Amino acid sequence: MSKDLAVDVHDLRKTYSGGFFWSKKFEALKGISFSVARGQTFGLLGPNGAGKTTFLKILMGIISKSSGSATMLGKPAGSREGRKRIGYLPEQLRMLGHLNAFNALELYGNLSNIPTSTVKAKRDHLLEMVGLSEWGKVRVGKFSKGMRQRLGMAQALLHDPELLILDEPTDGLDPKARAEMRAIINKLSDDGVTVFLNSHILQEVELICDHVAILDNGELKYSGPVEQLDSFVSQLNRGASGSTELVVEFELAGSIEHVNEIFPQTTMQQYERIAGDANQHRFKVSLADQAAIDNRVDNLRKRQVSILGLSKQQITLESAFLQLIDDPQEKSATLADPAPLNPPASA
Amino acid sequence: MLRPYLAIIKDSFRAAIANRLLIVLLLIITVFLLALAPLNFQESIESGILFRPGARTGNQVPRPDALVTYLIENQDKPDVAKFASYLDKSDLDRIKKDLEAGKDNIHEQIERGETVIGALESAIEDENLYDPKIWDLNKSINQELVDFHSRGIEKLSSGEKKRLNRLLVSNTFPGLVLPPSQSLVKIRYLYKKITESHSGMELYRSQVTIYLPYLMDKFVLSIGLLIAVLVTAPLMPTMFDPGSLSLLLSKPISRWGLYLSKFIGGCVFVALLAAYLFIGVWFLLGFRLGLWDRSILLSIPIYVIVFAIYFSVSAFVGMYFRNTIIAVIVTALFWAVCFTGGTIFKMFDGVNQKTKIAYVVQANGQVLQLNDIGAPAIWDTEEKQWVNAPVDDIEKQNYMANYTFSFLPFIPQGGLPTTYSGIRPVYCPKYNFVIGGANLMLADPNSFSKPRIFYANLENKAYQPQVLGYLSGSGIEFLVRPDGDLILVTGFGKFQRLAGDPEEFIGQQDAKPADTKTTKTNTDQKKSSRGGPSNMNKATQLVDFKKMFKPAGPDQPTSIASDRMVDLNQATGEIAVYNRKKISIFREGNDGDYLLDRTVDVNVPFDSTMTTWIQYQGNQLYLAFGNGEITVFDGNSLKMQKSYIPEKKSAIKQINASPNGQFLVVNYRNGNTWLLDVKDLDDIRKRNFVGQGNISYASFDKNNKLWIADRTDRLLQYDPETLERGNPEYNPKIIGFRWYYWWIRLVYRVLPKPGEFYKLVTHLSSSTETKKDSNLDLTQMDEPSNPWEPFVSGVIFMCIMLALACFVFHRTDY
Repeated sequence: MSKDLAVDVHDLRKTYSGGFFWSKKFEALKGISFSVARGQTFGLLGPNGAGKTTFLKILMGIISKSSGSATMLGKPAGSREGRKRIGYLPEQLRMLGHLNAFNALELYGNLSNIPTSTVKAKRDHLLEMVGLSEWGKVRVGKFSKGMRQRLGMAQALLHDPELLILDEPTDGLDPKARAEMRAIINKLSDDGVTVFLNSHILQEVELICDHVAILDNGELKYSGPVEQLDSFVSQLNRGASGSTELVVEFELAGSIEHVNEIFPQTTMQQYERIAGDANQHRFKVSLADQAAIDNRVDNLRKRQVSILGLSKQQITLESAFLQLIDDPQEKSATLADPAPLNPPASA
Repeated sequence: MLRPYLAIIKDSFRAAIANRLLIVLLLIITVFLLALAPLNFQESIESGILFRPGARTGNQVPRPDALVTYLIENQDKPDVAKFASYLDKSDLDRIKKDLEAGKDNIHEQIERGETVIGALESAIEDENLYDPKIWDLNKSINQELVDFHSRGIEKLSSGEKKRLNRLLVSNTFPGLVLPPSQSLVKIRYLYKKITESHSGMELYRSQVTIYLPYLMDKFVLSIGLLIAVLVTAPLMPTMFDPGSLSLLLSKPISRWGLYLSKFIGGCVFVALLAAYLFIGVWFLLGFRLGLWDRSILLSIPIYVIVFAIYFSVSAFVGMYFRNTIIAVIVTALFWAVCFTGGTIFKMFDGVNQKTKIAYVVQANGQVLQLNDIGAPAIWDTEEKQWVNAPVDDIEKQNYMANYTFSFLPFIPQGGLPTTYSGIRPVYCPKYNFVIGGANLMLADPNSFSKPRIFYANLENKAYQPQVLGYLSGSGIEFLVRPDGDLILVTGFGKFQRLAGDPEEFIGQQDAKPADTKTTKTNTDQKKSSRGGPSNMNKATQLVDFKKMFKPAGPDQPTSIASDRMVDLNQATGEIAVYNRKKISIFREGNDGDYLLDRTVDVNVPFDSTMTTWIQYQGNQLYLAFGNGEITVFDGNSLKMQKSYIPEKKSAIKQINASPNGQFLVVNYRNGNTWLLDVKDLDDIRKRNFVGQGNISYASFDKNNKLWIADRTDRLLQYDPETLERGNPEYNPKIIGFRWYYWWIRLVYRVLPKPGEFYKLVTHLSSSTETKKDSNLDLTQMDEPSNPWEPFVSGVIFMCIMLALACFVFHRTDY
């Protein structure tokens, strides 16, 4: 284990037991391994039930691991020494309702062994930073969900943590507040704080994080820089020939017979006529590389088919995520299926 | 280092203040204290006559009929005549007529007493009652009267004159109207009297000091505990709310520290409220009633611990289920289980204590045991069980009343007359019968202090006792001489010898009522006893005891306070008596009468009223005292040989010497039993008897074998030399009641004991100086059950609950 790693996980497993005499077992983490270097802004992605919160709770010592190893800032996950240096914002935070914002900061600061005087010195700045400067003496019970999240963020920063673990930090926030929260995280990141973000809002991760890990069904699908994700996905999608496949959208004008000579109907995806004109076509095809695209363009021109438009599809985090979390069998079926690709139901 | 944990405790208060709970509770307590504030007391001069017929305490006219008779018969005395002048003539005539007619029904006696006492009270109200020609106060032995006289009667206030009159009443009727207490203390709410104490201020204070912890215990354990549990129940479920718990658990604090801090927070919260309440009550009682009772202050930490015991359950349930309602319900159920378990145990234990073997008679192959209240049982050799001996309905009612008292969950201060008293039965081998007597404790004025004598002829080998009647003459003990003669010892120190076979005397009563012709059976005995209490004496008298027992000396009797203080030497036939620090040995003279042979004064530092036992067997005489001291004397020279105090805290229950004098067995109330072998006078110790610590009876038989009863009703035989068990032994199976008893006792030991904490408060608040007095008569005091026991067991339970909760919290994934 390196001291330069903020989080280091090896073959981490967690099995829940339930039912009559704990006879039913559910494996929430199936031996995941990855690491987060200090200074990174790291996003942990995964659909609901993927094991993200389980993973974070193991890191924080809220639940115990079944096997494997996990460290935070060089200390065993869940250890008190580790927790001293971490700021944590849990998912769906409900602070004790009898506290006002000042009291809450004092309580959670004291729990992190920060003297009340220090808390008092810092609290105005922190509340201002999260946009609650006018709400210090208001009972937390009267706070909206978003305000509670922001107060949670403030308490997580009280003791100047080296690692900030945020579980769905923008959940419940309006777009403006989300932007503000992102700004805070970006600033912290700029200040050298390692941020570990657990979120299912992919765009947010894409905007904030430089590294991501994708969990699905307890298994780690990817861990690495965001910018390498498309090549990873591309490699993953490489066909049987071993070549990378590119998805290209064509907008053509000409007879469909000529088009089909170049693109057999079975290879066309999301075919549609442009403006209802029988001689104008829009569709996508998967091609091996740029040479293949050039070859198709040459052949189309030979057959007097006009090229109204041509665009090479970029692999977004969302599409990569969707491709990664899909079942491999389903994925291959989807790729072979000419039916239109549906966008994800939600982020 | 403690900052995080102190923050949790502080947060408990924030929670309480935020939901206005603390303020509401403080308000309620303040209202309660304000409501108590108008309490006050008024001490005034006592001048009344307390007449409480039948009451065990506080009655200043113990024998109303004797007062009436004295007033009627002594009118030649000017002081008596003066008081008699306040009686209406019609009343006076009626009383005289009634007395002449012999109307001695108890209700008539009381009614006559009330009439005379009414006249005396009228006299007391008369400020001109005092007549210097009648009463010479200078010669009075009452210092208060002398003081009144020296101050000048005319200068006395109206109240003081009434006091003077009241003292004159006691002066005129000494022993018939007891002197009044120093003052009358009235407890009032504003100006309305609630209660009054005739015991004087000091006694009133001491009574309140005794009762207050008991009352507070009931109050705190009912309303206070319920409120405290309700108020603190949400603490844990709130903390364990999933939304807030994750954040708490992410902080660098230990889980057990988090849990215990929250627990302590709840306790501190309750402690503050309790302190406000109790200190308020303490100040109020101090300022308003003059009672500065420290037990109130001692109650604060003790009841916070009591609360903490229940809170440990509430907190555990709240932590596990994360639900306030479940926490409250389970805690209330737990309290109910503890309270019910304790109550059931007390009931079972009360009966169990009463049914322990207290005395054994071995008679012609049969074994008769009497339990603590004197109910007899016979050993059934076939069933190998004790079977209840036949008794009549009166006895059944007597035993039932005793058992009922033992069912009371709380024994009132001063206790109840629950122990057996009477004349212990003995076996007379000469005529092959068992004879004994039992005092009735039911409200029968005629039977009081007169034992009903039971007699059972064993000719037909069956124990079928019959009642011979009430034995008058204060008989206290039957002794069997080595030659088989039966000696009845009276409280006056007279010995009476059985004149012949008792069968000959049955039915020889001169004025025998018609319905007693066939009273040899129990059925008929029952019929005769229905005639009413006042007639029972005559109706059931079968035997003329004056004919049955003939005087057998001594000429110079020495009064005997108790059957403990007389013993008959089985080797010499001599009778030893202890009275007022003096041992007297009586031997049989040539005419068969006993005469005083030798005496010795016993040099002991304590009061002569100290409870004493005497045993005189072989050449050894043993004395045992209420303070636990045992002294061995040489039987002939009556020189002291050795003195011990084997057990300092428990009172001696009984001692018994082997007929050869070699051994002395000492049985204590705490169930310990010590054995002394005079061959080595230094060697007195607890021996390895089965059931040591739970032994209820230990005695030697005529063959010098030691019999020890333990458990409840097991009777085992030992050779005192070798301590080997012998045969036969009477070892019944544990069945029925006792089986349940052992199980309930186990549960009782484990669970907290909510109803017993006042004992610790009383113990801590009572004076410690008196406990160190080695001359205290331990038999006159309650057996010191360890007052810390409920506290210690409760704290152990709480610690186990907290440890369990911390373990579960530590192991649980949230």
